[in-house]
Amino acid sequence: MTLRGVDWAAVAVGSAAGAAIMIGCVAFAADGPPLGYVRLALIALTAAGAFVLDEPAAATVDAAPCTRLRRTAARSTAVMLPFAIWVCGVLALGQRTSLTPVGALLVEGAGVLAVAVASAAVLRRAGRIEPGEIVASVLGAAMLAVLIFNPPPRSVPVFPVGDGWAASTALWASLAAAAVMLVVAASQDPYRR
Amino acid sequence: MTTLADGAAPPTRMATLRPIAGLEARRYARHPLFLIGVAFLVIGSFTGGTAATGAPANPEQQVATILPAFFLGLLGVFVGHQLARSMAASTEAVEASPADGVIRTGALCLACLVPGAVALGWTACMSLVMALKAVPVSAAISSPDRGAMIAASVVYAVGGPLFGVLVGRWTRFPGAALVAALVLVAWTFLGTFGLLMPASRLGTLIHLNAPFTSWVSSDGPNAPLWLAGGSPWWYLSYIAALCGLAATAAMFHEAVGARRSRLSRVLAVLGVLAVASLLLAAAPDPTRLTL
Repeated sequence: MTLRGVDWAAVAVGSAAGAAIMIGCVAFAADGPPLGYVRLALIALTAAGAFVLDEPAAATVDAAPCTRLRRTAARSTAVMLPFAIWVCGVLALGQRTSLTPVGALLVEGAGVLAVAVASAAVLRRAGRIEPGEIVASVLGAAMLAVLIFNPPPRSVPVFPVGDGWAASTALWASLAAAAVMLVVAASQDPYRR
Repeated sequence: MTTLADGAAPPTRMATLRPIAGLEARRYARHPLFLIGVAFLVIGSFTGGTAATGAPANPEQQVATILPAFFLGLLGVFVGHQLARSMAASTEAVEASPADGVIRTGALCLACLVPGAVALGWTACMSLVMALKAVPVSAAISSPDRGAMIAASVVYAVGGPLFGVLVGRWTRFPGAALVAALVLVAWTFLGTFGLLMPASRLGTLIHLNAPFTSWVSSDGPNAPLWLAGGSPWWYLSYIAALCGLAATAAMFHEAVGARRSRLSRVLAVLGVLAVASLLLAAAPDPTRLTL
């Protein structure tokens, strides 16, 4: 029901990995933000966010007089840890080099984390009580694929490096909004369907 | 009077290993992530313009290795990790069987040859298509060197899953597979710093220490392509030694007694071999040849 139920080990490992990569990015960002590594940090932070809805004691907790929506809302606040690391890292990069698209990166991070939590909520709804591992793996592999292959359409780059930041920001803002709605919809208790 | 009849001789390790390796290979071949990787490899081959469009040397060199490296190797990290973890869950149940942890880990490592076989078949198909379509290749790359560059894709396809097995045997924390994949990608990105440096043996060493490398690069989007320095054959030996290190280190986790000390010696030999291969790979003339 509270943040005590969150698998903090998983969230902390992903957040620590993301923080370590971000520190390296800030240290070597004199000529511009190393966006490839910045995205690697985001993948680690996304993995951390994917674990916040893991509920190993779901069978017991489901019987408690607390709706799944309230539990999800309480657990979702744990995603603030990886997001806070992302915000601090991006702001530090912005301080280090003026070439950093701070706003776009912040929206991108929020969008990616929201998608991770939404994916976990959908799997949780489907009956998987610990969706973190599969969401982290699938989303992480997909992000790596996009990062390496940069698939079309080029007009809406998912992870831009040169131009296309406005389109990317619109994409991630839309995905974030859709993900929040999905989290709410997927967190309804079965008897309320 | 009770007589003890001579029982059947205990099965040799090889005899035990073979059926388990076959079982693990079938598990690997049926894993959804492996099948997805193979599907994307095929799709990427048709849409990536490697052979179908008659592309010049650069796409041939880069895409021909990155597709199997990613879809079989990097995704294989997740497959190898999951198979290793699922094996750990059944440890108590199979303790009575003649196969100990080392043999079962060894069998899982042998199962990692499945993506290697797919990469080998894919490489043969691509080479055949490119030969039939008479894709132009640069004279700056000799045929043996080109062979070593392309053969590396098979080692990439085997190395990723082996690394996943290693991580699966030694770690317990959730998300370890993704962290392992990130480590490989970050290591590869670090290697590209060698391409940004002026041509030197140190730059070649930094470039080639990564578990995946691209031999063709340029100084800008419209700048001419050049071939990075270094020996593709010694690099192939280096990444093969890394694969051996991963497999041995995975088996080392369960080994005890004499077998543990034997594996320690194997690890030491493979470590020396890897370092020597890397140094020899970076030893040739670092001059970059324009393609």
